[in-house]
Amino acid sequence: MSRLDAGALHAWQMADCVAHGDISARELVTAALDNLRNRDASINAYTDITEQRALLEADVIDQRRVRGEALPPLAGVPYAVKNLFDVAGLPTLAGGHRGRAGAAPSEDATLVSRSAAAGACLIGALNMDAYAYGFTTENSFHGVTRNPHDPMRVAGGSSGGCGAAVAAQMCAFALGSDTNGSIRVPSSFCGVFGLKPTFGALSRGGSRPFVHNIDHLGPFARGSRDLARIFDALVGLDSRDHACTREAGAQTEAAVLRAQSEGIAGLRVARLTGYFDQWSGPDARSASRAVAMALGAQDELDLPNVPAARAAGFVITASESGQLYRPELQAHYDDMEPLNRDRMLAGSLLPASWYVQAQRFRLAFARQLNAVFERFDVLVAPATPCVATEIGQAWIDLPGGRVPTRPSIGLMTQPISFIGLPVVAVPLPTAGGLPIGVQLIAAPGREDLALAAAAALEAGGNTFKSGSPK
Amino acid sequence: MTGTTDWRSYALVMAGVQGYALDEAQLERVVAQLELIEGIAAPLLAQQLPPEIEPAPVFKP
Repeated sequence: MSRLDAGALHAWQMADCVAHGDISARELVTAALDNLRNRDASINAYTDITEQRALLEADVIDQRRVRGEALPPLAGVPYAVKNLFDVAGLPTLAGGHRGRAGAAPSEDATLVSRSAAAGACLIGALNMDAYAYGFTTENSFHGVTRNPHDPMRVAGGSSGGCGAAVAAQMCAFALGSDTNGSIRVPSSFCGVFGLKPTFGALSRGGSRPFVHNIDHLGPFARGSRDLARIFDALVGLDSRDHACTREAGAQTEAAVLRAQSEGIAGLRVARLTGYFDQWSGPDARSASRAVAMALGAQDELDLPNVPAARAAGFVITASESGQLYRPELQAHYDDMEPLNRDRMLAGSLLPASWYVQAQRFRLAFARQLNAVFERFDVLVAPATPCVATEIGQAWIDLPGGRVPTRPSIGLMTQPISFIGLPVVAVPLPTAGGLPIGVQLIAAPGREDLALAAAAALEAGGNTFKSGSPK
Repeated sequence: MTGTTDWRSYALVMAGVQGYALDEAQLERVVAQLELIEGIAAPLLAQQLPPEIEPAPVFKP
């Protein structure tokens, strides 16, 4: 196999090829780095490249194979992380001013060290909205990350570098974060798969927080089997994250393989209407309906209280992030991102009773959804109201009205992550050629069901096929 | 409440409480953000929650 062909493989295929000696880990890493050098000047997904580390990690894998050792599940797979993950020796930017990043950490984030243990090779850190507060990755310090499918459009955010790097084959998978949609939005805009796990499933140890109560970490990849393999490799308790409650031993890849070979008969699926249709443009609504039909959805649901859920996510985010960054806002306002510093400052001024109301409503809404999951296994909703917006676009026109772009791209995702449900974002094609994502939402702890549904869509040929976007 | 709140006066007081020194341009931008958040928060603040609904649990001793 040539290095050129290797870049298009899924992560699980890469690992299998390395294990069988069809290609070396060093060749995979070199191919990803070559593609990065060719493509990233026009996309701007990466803020840092860790070439030495990647080659060192690749050589260790190749030596283990020569010795005849059994290789780990992500052996030789090149990956990158949103630049809010600690990487030993690399200042953690969290999208902020490089001069305010502080000293480089001496230790990797938990998910970075677990990726290394699983054999993956880290090739760099990726661009994001500053502090993870945004949906477009238009970053005043590190530039805009452009959409690989149309350079005049954004990649989505806040993990925009992750979506763009995976779509442009500048890595096989990426790790990002999602508080209000920051994995699902770039997955939708860039045409890749994303997994936002259940709150507390993957450790956030060694990552820069944004909203402690809602922050999740998760993978981007080119297919559901990759997401499952990565999730299974990374899950497990961690003393560095107080909220991390999932023990190791997840077997979601087995659920994906079963769905691919046996189908998903018996899976109870419903499409979410009401609020979700009101705020969906035509592409989003078509995609949601297509997925519901392909999965054999038995029902449509107009959930009550979704606008309040979105509002509660918004208030918790503004309040907690404003409080977290208050010292920076007091002392270094001029060094903070002009695109979101005033929203963050306003958040720090909100009445405490609003925040408490949001937290109380959170419990009520979670109970409401838990009752729905007694009747259904997977809920279907668009991931974004529309395809990727243009760079600098100030407004979006939707059936529900005209809304400001930056705070509104998360209209579909915010009510879901607010109560910590696991979601797989699956990319679909649109009539105009750009991708758009659909959310497959499951009950807490049931990533396997959402991933199985995603696998069934892939097996049925329903998902976006990007090839190598120009 | 939406549209009638005097966010400028509120922001002036609260910015002092929180230790921010805002110039006029900053104050205007912050007021605009408070108005945006107020509009988005309206359906949440309209929720009548029964007393037994406590804040969602996070803290684990």
